[in-house]
Amino acid sequence: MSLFEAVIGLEVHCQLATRTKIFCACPASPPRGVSVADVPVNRATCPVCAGHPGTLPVLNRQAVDYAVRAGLALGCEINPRSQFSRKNYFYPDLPKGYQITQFDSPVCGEGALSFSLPSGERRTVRIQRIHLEEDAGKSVHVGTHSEVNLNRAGVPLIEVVSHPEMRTAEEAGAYLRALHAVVTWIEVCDGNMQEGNFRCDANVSLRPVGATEFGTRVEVKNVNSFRFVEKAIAHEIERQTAILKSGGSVKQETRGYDPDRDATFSQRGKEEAHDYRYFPEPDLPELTLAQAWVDQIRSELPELPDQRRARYERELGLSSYDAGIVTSSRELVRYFEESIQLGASSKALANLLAGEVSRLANEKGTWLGSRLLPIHLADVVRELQAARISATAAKQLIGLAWESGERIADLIELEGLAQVSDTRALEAWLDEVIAQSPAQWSEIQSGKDKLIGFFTGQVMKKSGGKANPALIQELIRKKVGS
Amino acid sequence: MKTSMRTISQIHDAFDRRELSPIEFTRGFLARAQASKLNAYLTLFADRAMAQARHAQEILDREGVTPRQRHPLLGIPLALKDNLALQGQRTTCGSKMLADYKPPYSATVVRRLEAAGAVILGKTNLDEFGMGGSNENSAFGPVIHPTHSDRVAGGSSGGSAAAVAADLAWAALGSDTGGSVRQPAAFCGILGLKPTYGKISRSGLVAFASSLDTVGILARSPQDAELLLSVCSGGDELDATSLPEAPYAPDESGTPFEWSGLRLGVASDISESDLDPEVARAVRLFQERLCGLGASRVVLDFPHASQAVAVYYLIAMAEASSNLSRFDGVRFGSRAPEAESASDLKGFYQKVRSQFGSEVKRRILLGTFALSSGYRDAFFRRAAQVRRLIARDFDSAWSRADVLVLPVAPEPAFRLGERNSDPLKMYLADRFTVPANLAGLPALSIPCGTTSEGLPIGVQLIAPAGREDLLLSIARALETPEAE
Amino acid sequence: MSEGRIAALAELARLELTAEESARFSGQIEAVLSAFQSLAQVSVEGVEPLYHPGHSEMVLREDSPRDSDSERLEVGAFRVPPVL
Repeated sequence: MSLFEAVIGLEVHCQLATRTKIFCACPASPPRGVSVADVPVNRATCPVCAGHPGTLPVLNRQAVDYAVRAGLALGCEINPRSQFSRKNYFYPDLPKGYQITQFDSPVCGEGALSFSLPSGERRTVRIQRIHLEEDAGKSVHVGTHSEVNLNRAGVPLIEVVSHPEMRTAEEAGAYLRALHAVVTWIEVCDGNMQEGNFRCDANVSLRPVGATEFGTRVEVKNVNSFRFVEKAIAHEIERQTAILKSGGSVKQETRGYDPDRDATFSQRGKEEAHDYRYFPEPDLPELTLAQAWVDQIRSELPELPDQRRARYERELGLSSYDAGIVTSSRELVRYFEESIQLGASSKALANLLAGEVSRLANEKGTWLGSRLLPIHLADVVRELQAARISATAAKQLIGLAWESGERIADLIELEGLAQVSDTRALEAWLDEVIAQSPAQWSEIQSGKDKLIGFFTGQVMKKSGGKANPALIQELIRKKVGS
Repeated sequence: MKTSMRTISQIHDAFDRRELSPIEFTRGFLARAQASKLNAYLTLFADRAMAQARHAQEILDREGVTPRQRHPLLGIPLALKDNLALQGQRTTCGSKMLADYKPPYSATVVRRLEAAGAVILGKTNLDEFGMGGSNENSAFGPVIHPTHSDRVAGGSSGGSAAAVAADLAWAALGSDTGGSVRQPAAFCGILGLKPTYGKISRSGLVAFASSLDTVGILARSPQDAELLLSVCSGGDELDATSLPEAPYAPDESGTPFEWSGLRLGVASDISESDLDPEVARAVRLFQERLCGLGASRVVLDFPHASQAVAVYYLIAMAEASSNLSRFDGVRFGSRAPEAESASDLKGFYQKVRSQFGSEVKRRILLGTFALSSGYRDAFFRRAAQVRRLIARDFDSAWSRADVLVLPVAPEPAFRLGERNSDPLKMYLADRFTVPANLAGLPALSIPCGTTSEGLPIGVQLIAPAGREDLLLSIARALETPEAE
Repeated sequence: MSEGRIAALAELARLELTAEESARFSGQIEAVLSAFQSLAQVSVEGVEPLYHPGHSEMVLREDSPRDSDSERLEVGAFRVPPVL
């Protein structure tokens, strides 16, 4: 029982899926199928994003459109007038010596995001603001010096800032997943966390339960996966609790997270905090948003993931958990809808999508390169329901189809994954097992039902996983009863 | 022959009559520039300029006459202030920091000039990054006044002004953030036009203070200023603050200027005791001359004029402190030798940036202060509020006057070395020029006489936003025989 | 303005000042700021700051890549002292 409660706020940077950078015509991301790491250093730069003297920023209309779209999807107020500002600091990956961002008047104000916790419990977290800004480049340490790559400099970002009102790492993780679902759903961000297109800074402070004032806050910077964000926050709460319990005080600072050690580490103390000298960007006039433009964007907004989740629960009877996962990305929903069209039953399908398919997608980190089609899913569900394959085989088949794109029927054949329901074959295996374990068999016969599982397992083993477990059990009971 | 020509139109007439060839015309300028001791040029493009002149000659030979619509500046030798980017050519900004910097692109204005057929002779000297009013803040030495070798040519566009006045360029571009085109034009006895903010694209003009910077024109005649403005102006998609409008259209109607309706505004708070007596007298005579032609004189109050210098410098320095952050030695510009051996980042930056001259450092420090935490509201923000009040003073002036008449500088060109120990005094000398930049208004510096020593004196006209036509019509009308 | 304050500003602006510069600037900056003190007397209550002269509205750029690669910079990595 802790005497302290955590206060967590998240600042999430989403790279906008524009073709060009926010203030110049350089490509914002590599061509399809090319990884960021494979673009030659500084290839995607021009005098503007490399900060050459005399160059000026000109704002990308699509970036504004996407920021507004995100704002509307998150129920934010859209500010008809907003302003860019300069945040001044020196760093080699910041070509101009300042970042163009929004400070006093962001493009979107107050909003909120509703989502489910893994328990199914519902939560709403308020959003403070969404602002537009440019990304910095990248410095890489090489031996005795560092090298600067500006391909990323000037890539458009939105920063979505939540109110500090989350209490647990789990809640923060669920918020982050839901936010990821929304921005990818409305196609303003591709959400690729490995490439850094969706990244999170967490502000964590502790205070005595019941207090209304905030404690000293620590910022955990740039954590790049859902799981690591949860772990970093959990670790930070533990660390701060230990300090406070021992009578110490938490230092205001910026910390990083080291996934290898599962620990946060100090990066910069308050005394080294920057004086950013914000002031309105003189090179960019005020951004005015015509109501007609905002209305247009609103009218084109699709049904949002949370709305669809509610509909799936209501209309298809999916569990809250499955519905949440199925609606966590457009890709999953597309598979879901198209597989149903092909005759798959919705609950079994949702199960498969929420289980093996999303596990695989997470593991690969991308759908690119996947050869999995809705027909594969529909076929697997049908085979599974007809007991022609086992649940294990179903998982295997999804993995195989993802890689090869072959027909499910062919894969079953090729890999010998058909479930053996031939009674004679099953009986032969069962007899062998009984002959190997006579003592256990006599126990079953004297009424020890628990051992049915043992014999089923042994037969499964003999069959190489192909035996139909329901049929084996039936056979065992019949044999015991006879 | 040449001495009789005052306008580009007359040069083109001479081209058309084959009395003058673009090649010999350019060659003459290059020869004079090479022989000159004024230090007006930092770089001369002898070969490049001759190639452009030959190209102009080819066009002329092919067409028979100058195609003035398509190439309004055909064969006209111009100079560029060295803070305008010209692709692949050294662009120093008068700074050691950029002594060898060759920009990978050209300024929009430069592209427009070249497309119009102009010959670019070279890049002219300036106070480092445009920061100064005497050209003594150039890392490459001061510009010498064309007629008085112990005097400054003014600044920061001193090289451009001296080049035009000394016939080392036919006309030139400069930049005007707080008077940097008008003041050297006045000191050197030529015309200096600072257009409305946003009238000419700033893309490729190395920024000093972004909300005040304008590209300006230094010319011998109002006709030329107009023609250059028509070539340089017009919206530019590379500058979000450029006005999205068509280029300036020169007045070719030939209608005589109507002096009788003109309401001439003069500021009530400028006392003659505040000015060099000869400047005061020349400005007074100029006003009387206009009134003699039929204009009426209106005395106006500018309640916030006394704050203009403080407002201007706080805003200009704050913006400059940020604009000059990009000079960090990482991507371009020279790294001081000590910087190469710096073991940490901070040391590296400090070594690189110690190449700035004193005035630039001073302004960066002041600007950093004006924006720093705890002072921003009292200095930078308050300055921007008073800037609004100054702009409003102008707005209300326009209901009673069509154009304002002011001195350009409180005195004529001063002696070299006379002022550089007192920055405050230098700043205060900008009091008549900075208001137009704060409000974004067009202003024109016109020669209006000389001192007993023969130093030129300039007078300044300020018009409402977008009314360059009014300024230039007045200047043109003053040159007609009736106005003499 | 004290030389200590000047040193702090110089550090923020990544300028290295010699002792002579620091002493000289301190006096000059003090003089300039005290001359600018008059601003504090102006009544600015309710006055919106003016950050952009003129009446320009933001003109937006379409999200289209440039036609040619002529503006592209052909450079490798920029080398700097260690950032860590």
